Amino acid sequence: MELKRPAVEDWRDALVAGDTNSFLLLVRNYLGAVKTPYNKHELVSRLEAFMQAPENAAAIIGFLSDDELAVVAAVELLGPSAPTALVELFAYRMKPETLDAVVASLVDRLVLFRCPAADYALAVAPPLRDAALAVVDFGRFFETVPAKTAPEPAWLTGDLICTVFSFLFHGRKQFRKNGLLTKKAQEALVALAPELVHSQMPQLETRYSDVMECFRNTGVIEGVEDPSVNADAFGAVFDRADTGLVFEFAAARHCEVSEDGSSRSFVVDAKLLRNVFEAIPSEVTFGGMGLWRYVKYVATSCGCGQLTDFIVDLLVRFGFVHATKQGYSKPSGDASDAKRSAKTPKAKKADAAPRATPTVIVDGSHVVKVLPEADDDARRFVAVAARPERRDVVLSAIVDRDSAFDAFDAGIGADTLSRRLAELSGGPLPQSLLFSFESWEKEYQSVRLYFGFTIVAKGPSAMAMEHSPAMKRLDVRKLGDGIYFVATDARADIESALVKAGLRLPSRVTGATPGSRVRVRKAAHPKALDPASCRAVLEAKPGKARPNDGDRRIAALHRALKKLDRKDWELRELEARINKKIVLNEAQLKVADFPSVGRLEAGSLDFLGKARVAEDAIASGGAELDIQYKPKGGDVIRVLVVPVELRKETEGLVLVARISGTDKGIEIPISAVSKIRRLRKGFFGDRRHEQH
Amino acid sequence: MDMGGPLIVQSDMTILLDAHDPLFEEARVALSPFAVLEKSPEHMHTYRLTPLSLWNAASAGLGADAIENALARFSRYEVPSGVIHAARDFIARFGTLVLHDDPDADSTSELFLECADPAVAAEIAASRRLVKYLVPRPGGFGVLLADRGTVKQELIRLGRPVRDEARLSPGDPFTVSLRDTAASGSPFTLRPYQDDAVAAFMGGNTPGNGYGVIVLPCGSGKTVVGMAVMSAVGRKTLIVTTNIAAAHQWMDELHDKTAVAHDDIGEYSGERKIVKPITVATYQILTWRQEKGEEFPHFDLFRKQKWGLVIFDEVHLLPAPVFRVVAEIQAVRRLGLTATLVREDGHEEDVFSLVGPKRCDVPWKELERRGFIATAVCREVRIPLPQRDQIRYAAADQRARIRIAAENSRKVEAVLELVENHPEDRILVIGQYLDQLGALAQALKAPLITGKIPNPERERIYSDFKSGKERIIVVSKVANFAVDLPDASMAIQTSGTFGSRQEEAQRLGRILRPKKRNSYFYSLVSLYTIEEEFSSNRRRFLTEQGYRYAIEAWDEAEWN
Repeated sequence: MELKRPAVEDWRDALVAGDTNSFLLLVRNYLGAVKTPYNKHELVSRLEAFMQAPENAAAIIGFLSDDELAVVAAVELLGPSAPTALVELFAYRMKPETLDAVVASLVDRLVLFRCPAADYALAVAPPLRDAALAVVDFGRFFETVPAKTAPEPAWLTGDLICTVFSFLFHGRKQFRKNGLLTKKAQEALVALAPELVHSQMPQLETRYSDVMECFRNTGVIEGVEDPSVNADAFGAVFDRADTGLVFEFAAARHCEVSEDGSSRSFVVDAKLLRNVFEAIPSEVTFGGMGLWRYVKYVATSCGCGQLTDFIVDLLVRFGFVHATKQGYSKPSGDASDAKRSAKTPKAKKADAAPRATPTVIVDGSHVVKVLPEADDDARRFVAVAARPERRDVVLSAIVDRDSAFDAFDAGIGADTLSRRLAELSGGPLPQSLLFSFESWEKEYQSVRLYFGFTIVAKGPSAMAMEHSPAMKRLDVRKLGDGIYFVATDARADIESALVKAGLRLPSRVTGATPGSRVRVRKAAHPKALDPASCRAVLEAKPGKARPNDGDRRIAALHRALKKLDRKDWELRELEARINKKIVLNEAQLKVADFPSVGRLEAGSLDFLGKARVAEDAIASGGAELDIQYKPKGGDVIRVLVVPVELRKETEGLVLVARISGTDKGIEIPISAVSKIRRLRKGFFGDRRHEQH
Repeated sequence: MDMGGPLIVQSDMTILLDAHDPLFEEARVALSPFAVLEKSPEHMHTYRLTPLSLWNAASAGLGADAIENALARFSRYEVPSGVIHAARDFIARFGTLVLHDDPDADSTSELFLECADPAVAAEIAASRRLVKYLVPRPGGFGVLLADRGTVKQELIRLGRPVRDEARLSPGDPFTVSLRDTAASGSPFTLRPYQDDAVAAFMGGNTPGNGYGVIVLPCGSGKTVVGMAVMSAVGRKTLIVTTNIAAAHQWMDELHDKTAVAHDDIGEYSGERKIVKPITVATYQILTWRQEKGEEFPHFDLFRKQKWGLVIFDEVHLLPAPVFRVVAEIQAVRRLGLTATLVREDGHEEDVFSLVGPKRCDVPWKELERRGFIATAVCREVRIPLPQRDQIRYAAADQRARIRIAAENSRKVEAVLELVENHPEDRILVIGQYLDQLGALAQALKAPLITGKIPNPERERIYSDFKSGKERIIVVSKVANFAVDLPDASMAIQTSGTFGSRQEEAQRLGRILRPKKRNSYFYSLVSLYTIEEEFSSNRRRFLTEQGYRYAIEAWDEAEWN
């Protein structure tokens, strides 16, 4: 994925424009004493040269732990992104404070930096980027291993969706009053679509419930009490499904329902779901939280990281990704392929030429057979036109009077039924079927059920109904003498037309008022996402092995330190730096220059020490303090604060501070403090705990 | 071009065969030994692997490997592993149990059911339904000869087929020679498919053969196949038919096409009880008894004669009580003949297990293509009810509606018009309701045959029809089966038994004797009535055999 990475100039600018004190601390650590007056640009150049020296770069990289490498990998993957992205990506692996510490350490060690040009987002330091990325194994970050066996294809298929719809659409008395299927209907449905029952969870609450929920959320199943099945809504699912029926359908599983229940908004966009699915390679198995992390990465890259939980849930729930003992694997093949059913075996010969025969067969007994090669459109049409009877590799459905009436209900006339079935079957239909369609349609039309407004008008009003331009625009149909019908549920339109036609407005509507259908809203469309680029990250192998000599180097540095003739506190400081891996070689031990940072910790009865720590923190420009104190009559409290001032009160000194991360002020008597510890900012302002 | 194969093997054990595939014929031949043909419509035929079909294949020496290879060779997709697994399992079961004569038995009426697998033996011994028939013995069970069929039937229900190697009773010898020239003077020879059917039944006279069902279309000469089997067996034969007319036709055919003397052919019916080396009986007389609950006295016909062969004509109609006696005569060769093995009571499996497995099944359209049965043009004519009947119909309950629709008075006019439009055809008008049939006979000035007409009178009318003296006859359901009217070229069905598929097929069968012209089958159906639904169901057997119906409606305007 091509995200804009900071250039080396950005890195230089960041150092030049950054906090001078922090910068000087860093330079003194790596390059030794800084003579004044100094040229900041020149120091940056020297630092850059120091980092790029092969032995130094190797030392920095050699000190990186697995966790640190993972953070480097994550920062590189995320590119310039929101500050919370990294924390989210490491959820379930590192606590935020641990991650903070790792990031601060990596910044001090020049591996990462905060880029002002990218709103201070973390980035890999350009002078070290090539060397660092050469040892990063992104697959390791996502805990991938080569997949051993290809799992079963996703159980949710276009074939299944069409079959279940067809079963519901052509069913009779199959819903109970509470909106659930009767036991008999459930059994019949499962016989037709056995994959609705999970082999390891035979209860119907799993897959079956998910599919039914999707049908409800898409408005295909309407109403809770005495529900009906809406073919238009099913058609709408197809119309929206420009990225694949299965994804459009699956995405409907999670939706937000408006307060009045009239509209449902999908949480996850179907296109996003499909893109994430496509970004998952089938050749690997994701262990532990690897899949979640990968989806997080992919979704974050198009601004949808907050939907990770939903996306992972949909992928696993509908079998696009399978959970196994080894981890999560994706089946090979295209899950969006409606031609594939759970029972469809592979073509015997992969190189067999496509069949010339049609994929839908209609025989003289009015049985319609749908072959596995049939596409979405064919299945959709057959689902509406014929009632499913048996389903295996081939779906067998029957066209009869009832199924035809259902199709007429869905607005498909005899002509369309005949024409489309003939097209799909590639030849003329049996005459008996053509005749039957026409005959059934005549019978169907002999009784009509209208939905809309009926207007009864007499005398001059009837004349106005028939001749007024306003009423004509409403497409008023005359059903009988003085009886008119308008196919709309918008009463306001009718009222307006009646007024324009010069008719007196009826004060009330006689009869029941029509209901309204559920509106379905798609999820917000995400930014563009290129699945292939995402996958490429996993396919890339580390350029070289990471040097594995960090411990040996540290041990050598400690030995060298013992031979140095420096002040005790300097030796302690250097020892700490070695442990923090910001000392790369023995020469650095000799040249390192560091002013005293003052007292860092005091406690209990060391009243002066506690005040000194607070003063130094205030003087440093706001270093945070970790304070444990006991308010009057209370228990010991631990709080992280940014000190503002020390105020003299009659009872003694009081620290005035702000609780870190908030605007909330706090006043703490120094006498009540049992322990005070200064948290030093990293070289670039990243918080971390001083260690002594 | 490699099309990938004509078969689609499904996990529910059905196999679809693409009739338009270049390998169709080859695949059909390969499938037939181990799969049952269920449907053969114009595009995609349906076969099914059943335990019986697989055991039958196993008994014929076909192994699981051969079946797997055949499926793999012709299959368009990978064969589901479950199908192969199930087929192998069923095949492996065959041979676990072997029924043979018991040389150690005190009496010749005992057989020995050998069971080498102790687990299977334990399973069988634990069966409540079998325990009274089996005597546990080392290595198996003793079985009484009379229980042979019942035991085999129960074992099949348990999923344990028996390889029946016990000898069949030879029966008393009796030679039946087929003539080269029929007594009527026409040349007579077996057609290839009839030869195949006989060979399939006889199976080289090896153990496991000599019993079974042959399914051939109406008009294709099942009686001839029966006579050819009689000739091959060469033993005294009992033939059981549906009714006296059918019995007489059998006797006529035997006189015409075999050299059996008239005196050697007996009729065992309500009218006569003459037992001869070749005896033709009816199901009615066999199932007659004085009172409900009493024994069937005429079952002794099976028991007291040393028959070498029993033929069950129209075996799909085998009455339930006869199953009992068939179970007793498992030592006798048994041949079932039918065109439509569709039973509304669902007892097809009992036919297979007691009479024997399907040995031969030839699709109707196949024989039509080869000219052995007539090409039939099927038309359904929808006729509106007269207005007065429409009102009656709307107000009637379901039962009355069926009657009103069936007896639509306009059907009489429609029949007259159809008859007028087919001056060259010899016509059967077939219906269900006697009042309607009476009206039709009167309007057509044609003789009427119903169950009330005495048999001699019926046979006279049939004879007049055959001789050309009568061009049209009106018949009730008594002519549904086994009435051979070779020159009938047109049938008009005015009403029927609800949605009976079998009746529809049998009625069409009355006009399928090959002739130099097409046959026409008209079915009259009242428009916008329950009859349309019945008709839709009635057509199914034939449409599944590849017949296409054209439907036309005679509009209201045409009647005004």
